[in-house]
Amino acid sequence: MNAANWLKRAGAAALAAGAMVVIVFLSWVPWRGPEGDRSELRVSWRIPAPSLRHCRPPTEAELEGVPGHMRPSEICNEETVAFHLTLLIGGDTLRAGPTRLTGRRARTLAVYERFPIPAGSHALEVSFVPASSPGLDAASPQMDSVRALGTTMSTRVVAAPGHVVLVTRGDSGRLVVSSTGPGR
Amino acid sequence: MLKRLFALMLARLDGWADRLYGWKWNPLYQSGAIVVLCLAVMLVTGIYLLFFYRIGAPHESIVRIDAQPWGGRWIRSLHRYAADLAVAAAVVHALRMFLQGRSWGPRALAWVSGVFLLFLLYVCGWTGYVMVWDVQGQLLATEGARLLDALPIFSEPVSRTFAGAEPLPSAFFFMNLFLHIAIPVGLVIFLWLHVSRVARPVLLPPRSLLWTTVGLLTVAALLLPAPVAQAANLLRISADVPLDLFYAFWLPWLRDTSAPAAWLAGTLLVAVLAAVPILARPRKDRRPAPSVVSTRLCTACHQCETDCPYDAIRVVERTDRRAGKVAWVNPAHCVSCGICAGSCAPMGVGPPGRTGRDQLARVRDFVGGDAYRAGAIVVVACGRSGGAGRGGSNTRRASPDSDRAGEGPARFPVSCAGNLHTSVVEYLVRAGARGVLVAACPPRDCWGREGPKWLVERLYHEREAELKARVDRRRVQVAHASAFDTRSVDRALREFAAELARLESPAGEDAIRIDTDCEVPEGAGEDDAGAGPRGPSGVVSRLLPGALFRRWPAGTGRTKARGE
Ligand code: HEM
Ligand code: SF4
Ligand code: SF4
Repeated sequence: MNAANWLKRAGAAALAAGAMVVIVFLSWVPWRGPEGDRSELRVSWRIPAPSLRHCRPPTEAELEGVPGHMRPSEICNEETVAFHLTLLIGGDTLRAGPTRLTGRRARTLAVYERFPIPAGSHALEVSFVPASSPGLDAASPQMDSVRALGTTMSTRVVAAPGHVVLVTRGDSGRLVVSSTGPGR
Repeated sequence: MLKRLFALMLARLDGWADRLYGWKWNPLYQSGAIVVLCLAVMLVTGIYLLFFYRIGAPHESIVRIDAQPWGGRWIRSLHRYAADLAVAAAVVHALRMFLQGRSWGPRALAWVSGVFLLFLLYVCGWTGYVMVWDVQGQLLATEGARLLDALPIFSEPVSRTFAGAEPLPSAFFFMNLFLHIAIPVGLVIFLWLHVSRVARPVLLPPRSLLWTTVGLLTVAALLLPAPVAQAANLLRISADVPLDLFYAFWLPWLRDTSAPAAWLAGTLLVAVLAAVPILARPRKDRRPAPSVVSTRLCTACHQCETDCPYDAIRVVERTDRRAGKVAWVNPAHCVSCGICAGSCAPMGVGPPGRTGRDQLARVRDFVGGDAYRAGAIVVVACGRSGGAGRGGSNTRRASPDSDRAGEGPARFPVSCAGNLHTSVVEYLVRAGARGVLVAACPPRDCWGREGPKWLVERLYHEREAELKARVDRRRVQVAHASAFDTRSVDRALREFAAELARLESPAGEDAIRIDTDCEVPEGAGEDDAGAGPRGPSGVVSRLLPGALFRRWPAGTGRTKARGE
């Protein structure tokens, strides 16, 4: 084999090896997200869907044609109560508004939200209370159990860079803050 | 315009790779087969990893696999690098198909299923990295959950699973592992669909390329094994993340994009890719017509049915007055590659204007024209090979060496060497050409898939419609060269000329009569070119229409046909 052929073979081998090296390096590319120095406030919990049950005796018209054994003693409908979630960090509002109602079938209301926050020590205020809406029977005795699902909290949190401040709801219904990282 | 530019760039790249590796081992031509090879490597290495993976402690089990003194670390890396190469090769393969215009018409099924294959490959990679449950896996899982939460499917936000309040349930990792194993089953089904329209799909690269690829991946895995990244921690922000750019290049973009916008962009991308068969097809009047069978000439020999690279031909019962069978082309499957034109001894099939009879008419004009000189070498130049000039297409000079007026070879341009009927070669030799060099594209890059393969078999290995024994094989040669590889054609030409110089000068014949030696049904007087079965049956020997040989009085110089 002449020199040109050797050179060609060496080039072919080098290119194949180079392609493999490119694959290896593209397979492991360090990337630093912009949030590296920041923290995150995360709120996550779920409660049984808060609702008011309104019942009344059926009207004559509603019972007409219904066989005796199938006549209901009362007709009920359920009104879901929206909840309002407010988050303040260092006095600044991160969020204030109704929570999205999910899982109506499963009769749950789930809260899950994430907010980037600067690292450091902050005053955190959380309020999760039933939202008043027109037509809501605030005087209903059932409202007491709905209100009991609500909760508020005011505390100081230390948010370490790159770490998460997590607010969850304990078994007793009280909000619990957990966070990791230096300074905790 | 842009597509043409990219197609030229691709052809140039092919030319360089051909020079380094030779067309037999050029990996660019084998990109689809390399993906299948990578899938096979992933399957074997994946089975090994499965023995040691624990859904109860995913990251710890990966660390343990990595610490195995034998095997673990490099098998894991091999699994990963094969997955990376699969994506790279699939993209090259798709790009080639697009730039070569092999994405529409009967190939639409292959294209669309290809898009799904790529999509499944990505989802499989996604689940694979979540299995590792390192920081990249965490990011993929949380971003995936964010995307899912934008859909009105789940009753609770899926993202809450990753809130960090509780450890992730094993059920999640079980589900993920199940998907990681189930998706490859889907891949196999789609692969079957993908190649269902092609006859004899080539699923693996040639053995030497196969083992070189596996060897290179293994060496890479041994020398540069993939490290195990930090374990996932849901209470930390995934900021310092080593990304596998083949599978996660879009993650940084996704993090800054709202879920609806990401869905919109992803859906648009998939929709555009899936619509390529409609967007990229030529205008109706420019689309090549499917093959047509002359029921008058067809003897139902089955050769075109065997040779068609797209399984588009069936031999069916005649529905005309004749008894027996006849070839039938399914226009929905025919890509108009023209390979069948070279298969048919009685020249009864081929796309309009490209049948054996059309080719003979052209070569007769060529021999009678100015471009041809008796005693010259004729280069039958496939439009996609280096014989057709730099970049192919037969629109440029063949090459500086070979086209010098008066002394160089005569060039007979053809659209595809795989369409070439051997009678054309015989005609040229008997017309006094010193030799015939067929410049064909590299076999694994034939746009009609199997053209060069059948060409060589017809010229040298007695495949129907074979080059007749009466033709001196020493005066016929085939050179494979990609569109920019004019050097190989020049070199082949020089060597061929030297070989021919050792032979006596050819004696041209005054009159050439090309016989076809198939039996042709009765009713030859009814001229038809319809694709459907028609007309009565019966067999008589038949010669080609005399009109094709106007220049020479018939009879002289005729050699015996088989059976005579
Ligand atoms: C991801 C895994 C893929 C694998 C394993 C794969 C494999 C293959 C194989 C083995 C062939 C047959 C080649 C032959 O024998 O001629 C083929 C043909 C084809 N592939 Fe793929 N492919 C993949 C992805 C794609 C993608 C993403 C596209 C385009 C979007 C694509 C488009 C095509 C087309 C159009 C053909 C038909 C070519 C023809 O009929 O001439 N493939 N593929
Ligand atoms: S005679 Fe020609 S068209 Fe008929 S089956 Fe044979 S190859 Fe096909
Ligand atoms: S042109 Fe002939 S060989 Fe090619 S796909 Fe059509 S029928 Fe098959």
